[in-house]
This record gives sequence, C-alpha cells and structure tokens, in this order.
Amino acid sequence: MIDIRNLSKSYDGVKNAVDDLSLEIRDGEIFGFLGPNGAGKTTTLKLITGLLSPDSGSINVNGYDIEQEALEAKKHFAFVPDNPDTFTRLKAIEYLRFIADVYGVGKEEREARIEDLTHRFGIFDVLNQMVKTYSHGMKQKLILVGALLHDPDTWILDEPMTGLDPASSFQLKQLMREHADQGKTVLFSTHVLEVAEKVCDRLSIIDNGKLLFVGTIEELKARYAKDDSLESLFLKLVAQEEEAAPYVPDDMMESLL
Amino acid sequence: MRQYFILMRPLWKEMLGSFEQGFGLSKKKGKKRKPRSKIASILLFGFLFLMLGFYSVIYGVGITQFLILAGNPDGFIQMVALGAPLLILLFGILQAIPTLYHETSLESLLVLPLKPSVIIGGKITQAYFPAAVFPIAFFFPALIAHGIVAGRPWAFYVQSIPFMFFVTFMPFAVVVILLLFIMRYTKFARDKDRFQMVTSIFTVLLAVGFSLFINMQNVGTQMPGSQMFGPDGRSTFMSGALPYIPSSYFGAGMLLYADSGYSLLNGILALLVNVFALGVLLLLARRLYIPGVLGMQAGGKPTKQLTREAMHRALRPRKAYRAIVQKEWKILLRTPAFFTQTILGAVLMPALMIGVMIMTLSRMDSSGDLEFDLIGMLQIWNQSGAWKHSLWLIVMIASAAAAFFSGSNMMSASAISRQGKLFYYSKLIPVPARVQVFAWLTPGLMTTTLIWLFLTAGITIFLKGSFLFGLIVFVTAWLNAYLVQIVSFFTDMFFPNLDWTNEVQPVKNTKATMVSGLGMFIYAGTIVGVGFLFRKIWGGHDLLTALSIFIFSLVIVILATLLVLKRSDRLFSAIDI
Repeated sequence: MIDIRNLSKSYDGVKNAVDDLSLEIRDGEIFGFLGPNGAGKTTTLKLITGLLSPDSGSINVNGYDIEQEALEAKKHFAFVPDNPDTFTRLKAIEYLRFIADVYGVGKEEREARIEDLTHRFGIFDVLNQMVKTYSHGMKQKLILVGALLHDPDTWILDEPMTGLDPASSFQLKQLMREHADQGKTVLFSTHVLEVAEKVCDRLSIIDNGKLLFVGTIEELKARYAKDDSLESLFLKLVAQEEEAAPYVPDDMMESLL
Repeated sequence: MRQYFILMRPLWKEMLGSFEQGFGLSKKKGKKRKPRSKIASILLFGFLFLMLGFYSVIYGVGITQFLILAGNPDGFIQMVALGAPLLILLFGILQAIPTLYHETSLESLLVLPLKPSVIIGGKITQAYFPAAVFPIAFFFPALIAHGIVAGRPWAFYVQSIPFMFFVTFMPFAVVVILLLFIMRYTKFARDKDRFQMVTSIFTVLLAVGFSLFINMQNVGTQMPGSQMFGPDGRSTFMSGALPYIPSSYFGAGMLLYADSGYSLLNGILALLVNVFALGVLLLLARRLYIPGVLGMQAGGKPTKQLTREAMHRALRPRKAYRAIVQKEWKILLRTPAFFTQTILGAVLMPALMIGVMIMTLSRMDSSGDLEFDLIGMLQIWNQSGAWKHSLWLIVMIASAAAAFFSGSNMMSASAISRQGKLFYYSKLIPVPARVQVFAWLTPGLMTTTLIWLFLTAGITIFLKGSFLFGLIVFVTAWLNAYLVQIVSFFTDMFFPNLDWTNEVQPVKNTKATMVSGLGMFIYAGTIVGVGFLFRKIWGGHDLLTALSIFIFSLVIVILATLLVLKRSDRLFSAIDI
C-alpha cells in the first residue's frame, strides 16, 4: 500500500512539479498513473521511491515513511525507471548478483527467481553477456528482472512497457495481475491508454502536478461521458485541467480525511 | 576534392567537439546552465593556447640560453624534432582510435554516396589535426622564441611552419598504419573497451621506451656520418636517435641550414618523406580501413552461454559492502577512461618516478660523475642506525612524497562523480549510506595501501634498511596517502558531477580531482614547510619534530574522516536525481 498526503515538489522554487497531491494506492490493485508529458508522473514516482525529497507532504510505503524509515521502506518496493540506464560494463548475471546481494536475497531463492523471470522475459540465454551489448528492450527486461528479484510487496514502474516486445509486454501484464491477485500493490505510469484500460483496477490522471481524477474507468466514464473512449476522456480532462476540480471517489475521500 | 571539402564541414565541427571534450571545455548538460556562445568558446580556446604559448616561449628562451652557454644552440632544433614525434605518438594513438573506429558518425558516413577514398581522407584529416594541435601549440612558439634568442635568419621563421607539419605528420602516419593493421587483422581490437585499455597502456610504455631510447643515444655514440645532412662539422647530433626518424632528420636540417641552399634540399627531402608516408597510408587505408570498420560492426567474439553450474557459482551471495566494492572494481577496470585516469596513473606514476630516481642514482655512481658512492653511503647510513637521528627528515620526505603520489590516484576523488546517472541505484538500494561510502572509498585505499607496501619494501631492500625503518616509512606514507584520498573524497561529496556525458569528465574535470591533483601538490609543499617550522620550534629535536609532523597529518586525517562520516548521512538527501 502507498499512502501519499499533500505532496508538493518544486525544482525551481516557483512552479510546483507536484502540487499538493494526495493519493492512496491500495493492496491488491493495479493502479495506473496517467498524464501528458511533463505532467509530474515521473517526479511523483521518484518522490515515492525516495529518489527526490519532497518540499512538503508525506509518503508511506507499506507502512514505512520514505523519509524517516527509508531503509525499511526500500526493502519492500521495487522501482523500474523510465530509462533503462544501468551498469553497462557488468555482465547481466553480475548485475543480478549485485542486486540480489544488496537486497539480501538468499542463494536458492535468487537462483530460482532469476531462472524463472529471465525465462519469462526471454533473456536467460544472454545472461553471460555484458549489458552494453543489450538492446534498449533487453536492458528494460533486465532491469525488470532485477527489480522483481527480491519479491517486493509493492511494484512501482515508470513506463514499464516502453521498448518491450509484445511477448514480454504480455508477460509483464500477466505478472502484474498475478502480483495484485496475491493482495500486493502495483503502481505504474503509462502513456498507452489501451494498456491502462485493460490492466488497471483504478487509475489517476494528473497534469501540471495536480490530480485531475482518481477512480475506476467506469467512474471516469460515469462522471464525464459514458460513450467516450478512455483516450477522448483523457484528452478532455487534460484540456479542462484549469477549470476542473479533482474528482475523488467518496470512499477514498473518507479515508483521506 | 569537392566531395572531400563537403565532408570536412561536419567532420570539422565534430573535431572541434572532441577537442573541447579532451580539454574539458565541453558544455555540461543541465537544466540551469546556458549553452556556451561561439565567442565564449573562441575566448576559452584562445586563453588555453595563450597559456600554452606562454609556457612554450619560456621553455624556448630558457633552453636556448642554456644551450648557447653550452656551445650547442642547434641542439634546440633537434630537441623539437625529437619531442614533437614523441608527443604525436602519444596523442596520435589516443586520437586516431576513437576518430577512425569508435565514433558513431562512421556508420552514417558509410551509407552516404561518397567515394571510399574521400571518407578515408576525411577521417584521417579529422584524426590528424586534434592530435597535432598540442605538439604544434607547444613547440611552435618555442621555436620562434629560440630563433629570436639565437639570432636565426628570416628564412628560419618561414620554414618553421612546414617544419612543424613535417615532424608531426610522418610519425602520425606510421601510427595510423600500425593501427590499420591491428584493427583489420586482430580480434581483440573489436572490443572497443578492451582495445582502448590495451592501447592506452601500450602508448604509455611506448612513450616511456621512446624517450629512454632518445636519452640513451647520446653524442658519445656517434658513428661516421652521424652529422646533419649539410656541410661537414656544422652541427652534430644531440641524440643519435634523429636519423631513425627521417622526417625529423631532414626537417631539422632544413631549419639548421636556413641561411644556405642545404635548407631547400633538406626541406624537399622532408617533404618527399612525408608525401611518401601519406601515399603509403592512403594506399593501405584503401585496403584496410573500411573492412576494419565493418569488422568492428560485426562485434567481438560470441559469448558462451551460462551453464547451470556456472550460474550457480556466479550467483554466490555476498555482503552488500563486498558486492558494492566488487562492482566498483569491475567498472574501474572495464571502463577505459576510468582505468587510465585512476588505476594506471596511480600505479605507474610512483613506480616510474622512483624507478627513474634509482636508475639515475645508479648511473651517477657508475659513471663517476659523483666523487663519492651515494648509494653506498645511504646504505651505510641505514645499516649503522644513523637514520634514527634524521627521523624528522624521513617522516617529512615520506609524508610529502606519499601525498604527492596519492594525488595522482583519482579513485576516491572521483568515487561519487563516477556513479553518474546511476547514482539513483545508491539512493534506491536498502544499504546504509555509511556502508556505501566506505565501499566507494575502498578501491582507492586498497591501491594506496598496496602501492606503499611495495614501494616501502623496495626502498627498504634497496637501501638495506631495517624493519623499523620500513615500518616508519610505510605508516607515515600510508597516513598521508590516505589523507589525500579522504580529503578528495570529501570534496567530491560536496561537489559531485553526476550529469556527465563523457566518461573522462568525472575522473578529470571535477573540483575533487583538482583538489587531488593540484591541492595535494600544495599540501606536499606545505608539509615540508611545516617540517622545518616544527624543527625550529623544537630547537632541532629530532623525535619531537618527527612526531609533530606525523600528528599534523593525523589531525587532518581524523577531521576529514569524521566529516565524511557525518556528511554521508546527509549525502543522499542532498543529491536529487
């Protein structure tokens, strides 16, 4: 579970990249984080993972405050960034060993999980190669395997489908579903509305750092236009951003208050 | 020819870009930084060349005056004729490899409708000028200054311009020819990192070997005919190495006889030698260059697939600290820029300098230049225990030397900056900041410790010193070497450069590397001053002076270590990714 309260972050001290954001991502759900380029999605995810420090507000990941109990919080989530920058001069197997070591994954567990995940994503045969020889998509897969290696409760994925081939994309969606069905949390950002429509249990839309909508797709359609596709709803929402008050479902409002 | 000039337009821009990077003048990426204007770039280059020119003139005037006193002013021209090829050898390899083989623009050039000879000519031009610019900028003003001081005729100044090209192009062509063969016929060259690593080591060794060769070919070993190509007795060799480099030999002859017809003859011969080298280079390049480039695109040797057993071994668990240290070592050893600027410099510099010192001492002793046996005296001084009465001197010298050498070891100074964009891993992983900081410091401390263990053992054995002598030298040297590492690391914690795009930047162009290189040079001088000051304060008391120098370094070490530990907790929150 991720609990965000009144989160704000500004890079230049003038404009807020994230502006008073409050959000609750529950256990057992796949939560989509949508918004146009520069909306503040990546900043929000970096704040949740502790890569950035907020100007104000609080973030709890699985009950741990990311600022106060950073080490404990980090043990319980996995983060996949939007750009697969990684240690290109390590072999893939060396990279995975490094990740397993720093997360304290046991011997049998690491072997089993590496074998399972790398087979699923189709990179088992190239584990002995330097990461610098990998394509963009292969690096993305490797980072995904590394992130999921310690079997974290919460997955935080920034544009995880970018660069993945259809088979791997399908595998990832499958894994996300399995994870959520085990009562754990998946938060992911995406530009691909079809993916959000098919995979997400709930979603949020942000623009200019402000939350425009939180809820299920059905709630979104019920509130705006029943017959519209997610794409047209998204475009309408973003265009009306200045006027629109954020829509937050009643049950979530209660928990936030 | 028209195609060549069209091609040279983008290549020229690329050339300037790589030149800026090489001198650390390239723009850094960043949200708040404004792009540098053309005028600012020109001013920066101008300033750089002005500085270089200033040193060059001082060098030219100083050496010429000395040679005039020694009765051999012509020796200066020969020095330049030998020095320029030496530098081009060094810069030529370092410039030619990436320009000819590793730059990505090459793929886009190969698909253009250009004749192969045009691409080859363009790429060779692109490689030559940045490689030649430093030797020319360093030696040309010196040559002019020499002409003025030595009262050379007007033709000397005119001929100095082709001279600089004559003495630099042929050695460059030889280097590129060698490279063409290596890239075409060896497999190891296809791995860009490995190739750069091997060639950088090879270049350093070659340059050292070449300079030793020049030094060993002294005037005393002249053979009949070992004079310049001109009237007899006009000028003898300063080094017998000159005839082995025909372009330098005839080039030097052209300048030495600037007031006679022999100058023209030497000039024509120098030109012919260069034209011949260019011809051979182009001829071979037609056959070897493009197939070599295509071979590079084909990649290196195929990697073996992991067996279940190998995977079992490769995944053995380690503590987080060890995992980070081993990862750091692998990246240091596998990244050419990191390796050459950290490990290679750290290991080679003290070894070379001490080796040269020992060789010089031995040579002075054997040649009879000294009226006494210096090494023998030092050995007796050690064996008799007399060294105990000069303890302060030992502590002072060991401290200053260790600080100076450790300054060339940029491992700790660049430890945080080297992480670059991947610093986000450090913020993500559930490993305490102190553990990570200590892991980053470990490679620098390990090499420092090993280097001083070997050096102390070597010095102690060479001077027939006791164990206690060795121990004192080691502890003092290690403390000061550690001081440099921890202070430069602390600087990097405050001013990390994480948004670099070129791997040379974090190991060369940061405040911490400047503190390490320049600051420790100043510290080494300070420790000598402090040594004499304490000696005065303690009225010449040997032990108290030695202890004071040691405590002086110890206090700085303790302070810096405490600051690093304190800062480490705030490090991650201070750096936004």
